[in-house]
Amino acid sequence: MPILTTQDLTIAFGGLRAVDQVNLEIEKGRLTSVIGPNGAGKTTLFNLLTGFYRPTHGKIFFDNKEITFLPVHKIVKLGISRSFQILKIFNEMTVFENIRVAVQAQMNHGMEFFASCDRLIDVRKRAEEILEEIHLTVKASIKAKNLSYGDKRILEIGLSLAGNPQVLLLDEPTCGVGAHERGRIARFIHDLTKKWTVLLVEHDMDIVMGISDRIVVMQQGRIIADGTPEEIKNNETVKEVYLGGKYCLA
Amino acid sequence: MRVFPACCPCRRFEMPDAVEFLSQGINGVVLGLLFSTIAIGFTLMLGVIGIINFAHGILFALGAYFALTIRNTLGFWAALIVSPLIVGLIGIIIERLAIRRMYGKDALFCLLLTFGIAMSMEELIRMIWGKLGHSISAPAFVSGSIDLGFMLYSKYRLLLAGLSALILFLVWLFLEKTTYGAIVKAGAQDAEMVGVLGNNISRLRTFVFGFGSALAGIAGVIAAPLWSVRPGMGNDAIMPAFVIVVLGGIGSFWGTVIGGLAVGLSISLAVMFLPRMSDLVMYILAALVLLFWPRGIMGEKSILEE
Amino acid sequence: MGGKNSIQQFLRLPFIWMFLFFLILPYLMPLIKGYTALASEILIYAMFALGFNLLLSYTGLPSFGHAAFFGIGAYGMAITQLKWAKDLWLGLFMGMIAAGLFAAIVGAILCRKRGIYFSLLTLAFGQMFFFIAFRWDEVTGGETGLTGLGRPPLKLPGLPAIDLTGPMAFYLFTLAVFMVVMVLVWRLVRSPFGSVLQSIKQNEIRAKYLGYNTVFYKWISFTISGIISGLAGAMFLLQHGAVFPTYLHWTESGNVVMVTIMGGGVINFFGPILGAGIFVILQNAIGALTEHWLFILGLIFISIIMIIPEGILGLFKRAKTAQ
Repeated sequence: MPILTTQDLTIAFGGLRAVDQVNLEIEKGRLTSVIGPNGAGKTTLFNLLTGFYRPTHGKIFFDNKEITFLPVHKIVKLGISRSFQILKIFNEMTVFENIRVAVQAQMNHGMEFFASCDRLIDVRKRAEEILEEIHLTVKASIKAKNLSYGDKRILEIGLSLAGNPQVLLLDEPTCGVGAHERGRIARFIHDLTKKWTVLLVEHDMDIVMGISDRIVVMQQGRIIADGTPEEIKNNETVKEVYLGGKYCLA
Repeated sequence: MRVFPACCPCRRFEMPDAVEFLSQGINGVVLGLLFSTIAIGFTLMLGVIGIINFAHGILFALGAYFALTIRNTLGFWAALIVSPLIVGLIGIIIERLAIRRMYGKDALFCLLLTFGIAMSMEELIRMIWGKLGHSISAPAFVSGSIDLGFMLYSKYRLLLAGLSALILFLVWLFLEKTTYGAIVKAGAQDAEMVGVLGNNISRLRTFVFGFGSALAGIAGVIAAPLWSVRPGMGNDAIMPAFVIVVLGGIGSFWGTVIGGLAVGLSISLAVMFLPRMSDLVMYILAALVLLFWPRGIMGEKSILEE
Repeated sequence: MGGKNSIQQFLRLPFIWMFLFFLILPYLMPLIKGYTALASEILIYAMFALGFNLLLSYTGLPSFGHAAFFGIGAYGMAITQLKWAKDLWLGLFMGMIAAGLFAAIVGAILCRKRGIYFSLLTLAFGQMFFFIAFRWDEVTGGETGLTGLGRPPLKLPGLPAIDLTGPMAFYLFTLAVFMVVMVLVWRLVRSPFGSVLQSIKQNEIRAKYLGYNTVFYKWISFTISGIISGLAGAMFLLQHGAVFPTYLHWTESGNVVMVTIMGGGVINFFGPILGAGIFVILQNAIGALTEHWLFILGLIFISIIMIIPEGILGLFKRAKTAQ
C-alpha cells in the first residue's frame, strides 16, 4: 500500500528540467533507495517531496492526501521527515538540546513563553528515549559542533526521527563518513525500517545493494529503472549510465 | 479641487503648469543621475565585498570637502579630478587597515566597523572644517540659467546631469569593456565564484573599495554646489543609496541607474504634488517595487541571502 | 527541600546581586562625574538593548531600524499625555502598544526576507518612521518635537500617589521596571519559545524541517522586541520630558547595535546591560572633556569591534578559557 506517491512530478529551472515527469509510489515499511549520477535530480526530488521547492507540474500525495503546495513545516507535521547531505544540526546546542527542540516541535510546545525548558517532563522523557535509540545518550551534554563527524551524521538522522515521522527521507547519510563508521550507520539505517518507511539517496553501492528492498534509478530528472537490487544489478541501461560507485564530496 | 482634512499631507495641492512640470521633470532626471552616481560605488562594494558600507556617505562628504579646499587654490576641474583620487586613496587605506581584518567574520561586524568609521569621520570633518555648512557656488562658466526658449533652467544642473551621465558611462565602459571590469562585474553578482576561478580576491576587494570610494567622492564634488557642503551631508547620500540598491538589485549597474532615475523622478514629482511626502516617497516606492520584484528590478539571487 | 533548592538556584543567578548593585549605583555616580538621572538613563538604555538583543543574538536578525520603535514609544507616551490623560500607566501602555503595533506590521512584511535584504529593509523602514515624525507636524510637533512634558505620579492600588519628579524617586521606579523587564526576557529566552528562536538562528532550514513555522516565530520575536523598545522609549520620555524626531534616526539605531555588541550581547545575556552602562557613562565623561566626543566614541567602537568583536564580556570569556 503506497504511502507516498507522485504524479508526473516536474520542476523546471529556466529551461532545465531538474525533475521530469516522475511517477513514484513508495511502499510503506520498505527501504527504497534512489540512486543516479550527480545531477540526476535526487536531492531536487527530496526538496519537492518535502515542500522546499514547488513543482512546475504534477502532484504529490501522502497517505492519500494531496500535499503538493504545502509549506515545509506543515508537511513535516503530517509525517514526512528528512536528513540532509550537508549537515544541518544546531552546532551551539548540546546533543540533548538538539533532540529536545525537535521533540518540542512534535509535541507542540513551541509557543510556550514562560515555562522553563527543563520543566517539560514529557519532552525530556521522549528526548531521552530518542537519544537511546540513536545510541548517543553517553554524549548528551556535548555540544554538537564538538562531536565526531560520524556522530554528527547520526545526530542529523536523529533530528529527523524525533518528529515521529512516518516517512524518512535520508539524503546521503554516509556522505564523508570514513569506512570504519560506514558500516555502523548502514546497520542503523537498516534497523530504521522496522518502524519507519525510508527513502534513501546514497552513492555507496555496497550499502545500497546490501540494505535496500527496492532501488529506483534516476538520470537527468527521470526514472530510468525501478526494481529489486538483483534486477538493478543486472540492468543494462543502468550499467551503461551509472558506472560503478561514486564517492560524494563531504 | 477637493478638500482634504487638515492632517492630510496632500492638503496644499495645486495643479502645476506645463513649464513647471517640465522643469521639475528635468530636475528629477538630474537628481536621478546624481543618485545613480552616488549609489553605483555602493552597490559594487555590496556585491563584490558583501558589506553594507555605512561610511559611503562620509566618503561622499569628504569628496565635497576636499573639492571645497582644492577649488580655492586650483579651480573646479582640478577639484573634480584630484578630490576623488584622494577619497579613493582614503578608501584603500580604510580597507587595508580595518575592513580587511573582518572578512572571515560575521558580516555584521564589518558593517558595524563602517558605522564606527562613519561616526568618527563625521566628527573629524567637524573638527577640521568646522560644524557650519559652506555654500559653494557653481563654477563661473556655468553660473546662472540658460534660456531654453520656453523656459529658463539652471546651467549648473545641466552640467551636473552631464557629468553624472559621463561618470556612469565611464563606469559602464569599465565594467563591460575591460577584462578587470568584467571580473568586478562578475564579482558583484557572485564573489565566491570569482575567487574559485583563480582571481586574487584580496586585491579585487581592495580595488573595489577604493574604486567605490572614489565614485562616492566624485559624486560629492559635483553635488556640492547643488546641496551645499555640511558635515551631515553624508546622510543625504547614504539613505538614497540604500534605497536604490534595494530597488535596483544588488550589484547591478542598470538596476542602479534605473533605480536612481526612479527615485529622482518620484522625489521631484512629490515636490510638485505632495511636498510633505517628498522624503518618504522613495521608501514607499522601494516597498512597492519589492512587492513584485523581491530582489529588486534587476537583482539576482546571491549568497548574501544566507 | 525543593524550596531550599530553588532559593539556592535563584541566588546563583545574578539578579539579586544586580539589584543590590543598582540600588547603590546612584551613590556611585558622582565618583565618575555622573548623577542620578544618568543612572536612570543607563537602565533605560539597557532595557532598549535587552529588547533589541532578543532579536539580534537570540533570533539572529540584525535590525538597523529599531530606534524607530524606541521613538514611537516615546511619542506614544507624549501624545497620550498631551491629548488624552496625564496618567503614567496609560502612557506607558500606549507607548508599548503603539510600538508593538508598528513592529507587528513591519515584522509581517520583513520576516519573510532573508539575510541582507532584511537588514536593508529595517533601515528603510526606520528612516520612513523618522521622516513621518519629522514631517507630520500636527501630531508629532515636527522638527521641534514635543517638549515640556512632566512626569505623572505613580499610582499603585491601595497606596497614595507617589511623586516621581525627583531624580531618586524616578530612578527607583525605573529600576523596578527594568528588573521586571530583565527577568521576563530571561524567562523568555529560557522557555521553549526561546529555544525555538535559537534553533532558527543556528539553522533556520532545519528548524523548518522540525515542523516550526519559522516566519511566524521570527515575527513574534520582532514584535516583542518592538514592544520592549517602545517601553524603553516611553520611559526615556518620562526621563527627559521631550521627544524629537532624532530619536528615530538610523544613527540611533546603529548606536544600539554597537552598544549591544560592545558589551558582549552576542555571547551573554547581560552583555547589552554592560554595553549600555559603558556607553552612557563614556558619552557623559568624554562629552565633559571635549565637544568632539563622537570622534573618540567612534574610535572606541572601532577598536572594540576589531580587537574583541565578542564584546567586553567576550574578553572575560577569553581569559577564562585561556586559564
